[in-house]
Formats: sequence, structure tokens, C-alpha cells
Amino acid sequence: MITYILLALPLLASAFSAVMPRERQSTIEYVAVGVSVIKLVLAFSIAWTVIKTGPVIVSSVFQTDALGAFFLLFSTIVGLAAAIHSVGHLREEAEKGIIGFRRIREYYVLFHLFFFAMYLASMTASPIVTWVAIEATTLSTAFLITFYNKPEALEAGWKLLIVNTVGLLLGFLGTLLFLNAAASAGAADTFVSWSTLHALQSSFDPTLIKIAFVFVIVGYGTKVGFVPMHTWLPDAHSKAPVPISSLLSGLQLNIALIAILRFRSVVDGVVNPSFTQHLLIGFGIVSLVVAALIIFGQRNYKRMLAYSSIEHMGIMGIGFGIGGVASIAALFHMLYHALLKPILFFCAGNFFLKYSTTKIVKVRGALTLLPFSAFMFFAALLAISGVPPSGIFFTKLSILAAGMHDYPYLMIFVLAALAIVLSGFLRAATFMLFGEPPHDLQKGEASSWTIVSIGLLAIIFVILSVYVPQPLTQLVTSASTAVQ
Amino acid sequence: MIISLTFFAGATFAFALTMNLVRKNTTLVTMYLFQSLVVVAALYSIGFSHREIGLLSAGILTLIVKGIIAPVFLFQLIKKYSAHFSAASQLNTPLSLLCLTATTLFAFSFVAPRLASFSTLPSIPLLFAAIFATLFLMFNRRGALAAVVAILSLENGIVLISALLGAEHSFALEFAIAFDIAVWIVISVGFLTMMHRQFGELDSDVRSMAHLTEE
Repeated sequence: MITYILLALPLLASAFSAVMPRERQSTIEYVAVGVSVIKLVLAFSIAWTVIKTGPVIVSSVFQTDALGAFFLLFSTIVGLAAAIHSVGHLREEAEKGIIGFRRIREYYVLFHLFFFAMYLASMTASPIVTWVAIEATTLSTAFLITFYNKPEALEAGWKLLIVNTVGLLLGFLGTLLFLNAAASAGAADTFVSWSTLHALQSSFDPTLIKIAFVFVIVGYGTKVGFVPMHTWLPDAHSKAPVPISSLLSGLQLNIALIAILRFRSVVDGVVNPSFTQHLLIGFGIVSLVVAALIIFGQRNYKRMLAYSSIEHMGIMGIGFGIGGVASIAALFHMLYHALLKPILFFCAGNFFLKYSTTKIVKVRGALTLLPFSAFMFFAALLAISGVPPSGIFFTKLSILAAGMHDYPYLMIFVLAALAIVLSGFLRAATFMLFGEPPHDLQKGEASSWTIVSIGLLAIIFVILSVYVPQPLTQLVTSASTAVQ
Repeated sequence: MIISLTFFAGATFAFALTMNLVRKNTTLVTMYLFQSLVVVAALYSIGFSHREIGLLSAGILTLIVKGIIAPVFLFQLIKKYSAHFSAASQLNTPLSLLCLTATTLFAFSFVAPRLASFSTLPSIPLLFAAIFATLFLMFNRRGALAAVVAILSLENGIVLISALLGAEHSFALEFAIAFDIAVWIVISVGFLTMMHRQFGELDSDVRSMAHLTEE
């Protein structure tokens, strides 16, 4: 029942937002925040049930396992923060005359639809429904990228639509090949779930499964942002409104990665696991190195954060590729990244509202003008780079330590890339935070909404960096068995 | 049955190939319409011979979404904005043909042997060749409209491969997939309209991404 409510809530909220008149703008905003709180409670309830009694099975299509519950948990936390931040950010933009009510209403309609698609992808047992849901996230975000109605935003939205659709169609072909393998192996029902694929994997043709997985990793890898299929990501993430950038980065990339990992666990039962291991590590390391080099020379702070997402997807790819303890570390890395990246995007949004530019060279003296946002931006940059005692420090250390055993030379590359990223971040941050601020700008944050969202995520991140509750450890450990 | 499947696959490939050679947008959409009708016919043929309700329902949905909705939307758009001629290609016709020959050879010499243990139908490499041809169309043609048609054509190839290899889906899943594609068509047409408003032409060279620069 809770599963259905969780799926119905964003749909209802979306429909509600669509019919609200101009004078009800604040109702739309409060509904978004209120629904996000309810979704968070429901997600906790589902996660708790999964921890205590195992997967929540409501029908053959809707089943939430530990991996799904883990994703639900942090997606609802980030969702709440994004809903809060959206109120302050959009109100400020409306006040400046950048957007009008119709845009705001359109934003909330698509915002809720995006979450519906996310929850559907995480709570289904069907590979095909997963594909439909992930494709739906592309469709719901395409118009959010073009939110500001500028030529470059339109191009970014178009790029997202075309590149992601081609990628996902290749992923669809891979998925269908898996389903065909199941049909040939004697799947009794027309409905094939992840469990069906696992149950029949011993009868699968290894060559076909290898081809299918290549299509899956290239297809869904496009959505993850693996290099060289990443071309849409920096444009889309930098042109979207910041709350949407944070959702794309913190949630959308992860759900596609989770889809790859679910297929991977099937493939590893059919062919030598080194096949998927090498593919994941390969894509991971290329993504990490390319992103690191671009971050170092980056002149736009939103694009810098977008490339940072590619970098972190690379790290997760390496972690999941190595497997074992590194897989658990990669899952924790997913959680920490999902909490930190929205903080960075929210702060970037506050910079944009103040300076009206995304160019690093034009943002000076942020620590004076926006003390809270600037401090949080700097702290989050350090934390996401893996400076101790950030949780990311421990996840990176665990992945590196696990990798040193089998891939010592590759780990040296990883270390070098991480050092380049840190120096790139420090270079940008010192330029933006210090120096003489422009004289025509007033000191002060945009609104309390845009502070609360950052504070909420920061508190959760700090707590989870120093103390991981036992139930969460249990959930992550169970989730890691689903990806190996 | 095998001959007819090869015929359907061959026709799908031929239309994919022709899409690469035509210059008029109306012809491009017409080729896509014919290809979609071939896919519908193939789904009915396989569905009747195997008595599979899933494939028959997939055929109906394909006919509605790809045989009616997509062409109607695209033809209306071409008419409304007088975009009868397509934008230029990256490569000229002889070079394009050379590339298409290479991708077809790749499908037969690389993909077919690897799938031989699973299916020896000649239609499978033909459909992979059709998929490669539509991917080539997407990269080679500069126009935004061609990209939309190429994606829809790519989806045609994938659906047919899936049907030939024997994938069975429930009606609900077929409906979800068709709905997804229908929404995609509406959104892409929405984007094309926005492009016309923004850049003054429907089939603009949007992929040159003149406004998106690495700052």
C-alpha cells in the first residue's frame, strides 16, 4: 500500500500544480514541500520494512529490495531539500523578472513527474519498467533544461533529449536481448523480473549475454555520464535551474548506474566476472581522468560541478568494478555524493542570484557578500574532494585500498586524478571566495529557504560522515549483495 | 516464414538506407512511415504464425504510434513551417554510401557470427545493418528533423529484432513502451517548434551547438 501511495503522491501533486491559478503560487510551493516530507516518511517506512523483513513485495511488478530502498531513502531526502530550495530560488528569479508564474507552475508539474519516474525505477522488479521509468526521467527533465528559454538552454535540452534517447534505445536493445535469453531459457511467464533473470542465468548463452551487457553499459552509461557518452551532461546540468541540476546529478545518474549494476549481477553468473569488472573499471577510470583534466581548466562554476559528477560516477564505476568491500564503499560514496552535490549546486544558485553570472572570474569576494553560501560551498568542495573527516574520504580510501591489490598502477592514476580535481577546486574556490567584491552588490543571502535547504543536507552529511547508524549499514550491506 | 521474415527485415533495411539518400524532409518522413508499416506487418505476421497475443497488441500500438501519430505530427510540422528541404549532410553521397557499406559489412561479418549460436536467421544481421544505418543518419545529417526520424527508425529496428528473437511482453508493458515513445514524439515535436521560434527555421543545424561553448 505504501508503495502505491509513494507512487501516487507525486502524480497527484503534479496534477494539482497544473490546475492551480496564479494567485495560488504559494499553495503550489507548500504542496511541493509538504508532499516531499510525506514521501520522506514513506520512504523511511519502506526502508525499515526492508531492513527488518526483507524485500517489500506488493505485486509481480512492484517490489522494493534493499538496493531500491537505499535509493529511495536518499532520493527523498534530496527531494525535500530541492523542494525547499526551489521555493526560495524561483521566488527570487520571479522577483528579478527572469521567470513568470506559468514557468513556475510548469516547473513544479515536471518536478513531481520526475520523482514519480525515479520512484517507479527504484521500486519495480521489471527490467522493462525500469527502462520506461528511466526514459521518463529524460522526458520530464528535457523541458526543465530549457526553463530559461535561451538559445543555449534549448540546445542543451535538445542535446539531452537526443543523446539520452539514443543511449537508452541501445540500453533497450540490451534489455530485450536479456529478455530473449530468458524466453529461450524457458521463462514460464511473459513477465520477466530481475529474479527470473537470476533464476535462469545458468541456461543463458554467454556470447549473447556479453553482447547484451555491452549494449546495456553503453546505453545506460550514456545516462550515467560515462566518458565518452557524457557529452550531454555538462550542458544540461549547467543550463538547468539549480534545484534540477542537483536532482540530475544526485539522483538521475545514480538510478541509471543502479540499472547497470542489476544487469551486471546477472551477467556475472553467466560469464567470467572479469568481463563486467574490466568494463566498469575501464569506463570509470576514463571518466575520472577526463573529468579531472577538464575540472582543472574550467572557467564556469556550474560546468565544474557537472564535470565533478562525471568524476564521481567514474569513482563509483571503479568501486563497483573492483567489487567486494569496494562495492559497499561505492554505495556509501553514492549516498555521500547525492547529499553533497545538491549543496554545491544550491550554493552555486545563490552565487548566480547575487552575481548574475556563472563565470568563475566574475565572482569575487563571495565570502563577504554571501558568507553562509560561500562557506558551505568551500566546505562542500573540500568534503567532496575527499578531505578528512568527510565520509567521501573513507569511501575513496576503501576503494583505493581494495584496488591496490589487483590494479596498483591504475590506482596511481586514480590518485593523480583526484589530486588534480582537488587543486582545480581550490583554484576556483579561492578565486570566487576571496578578493574585493563588486561595489554595486549588496551583502546578504537571497532568502531563508535557500539557506535551510543547504543546512538540512549539510547536517545530514556531517552526521553520516561521523556516525553511520546500524540499520543503514545493514541496508547498504544487503544492497551490495544485489550488485555483485 | 523465414523467407517472409527476411523480406520484412530487408525492407526495413532498405528504407533505412533510403533515408540516408533522400534530401526532402517529406520523403524522409514518408520513408519512415513505410518502414513503420513494414514493422507492423512483420509483427502481425509473426504474431499470427506463433499465435501470440502480445505481438498482435504490439502491432496495433505500433500502428497507432508510429504509423499514424508520428507521421501526422511530422508532416504537419513540415507543412506549417514550410520545411520541405532537409539540411545538408556531413558527408557527400558517395562517401555516405561507402560508410553505409562498411556498417552493413560490419553487421554481417562481426555481429552475425556472434549471434549465430542464438539465431541463424539472415534477418538478424539485416536488422542490425538497419540499426547502424539509422545511427549513421543521425550523425551524418545536420538537421534536427532528421535526428528525430532517425531515432524513431532506430526504435523500429530494435522492436523488430526483439520480435524476431522471440521476446514476449504483456499488453501492459507494450502499452507502457508505446506510451513512452508517443510522449517522446510529442516532446521532440515541441522542441522542433521551439527551435523554429528561437532560430527562425525548423530544420536548423542545432547540432553545431553554436551557443553552447566550453567557457
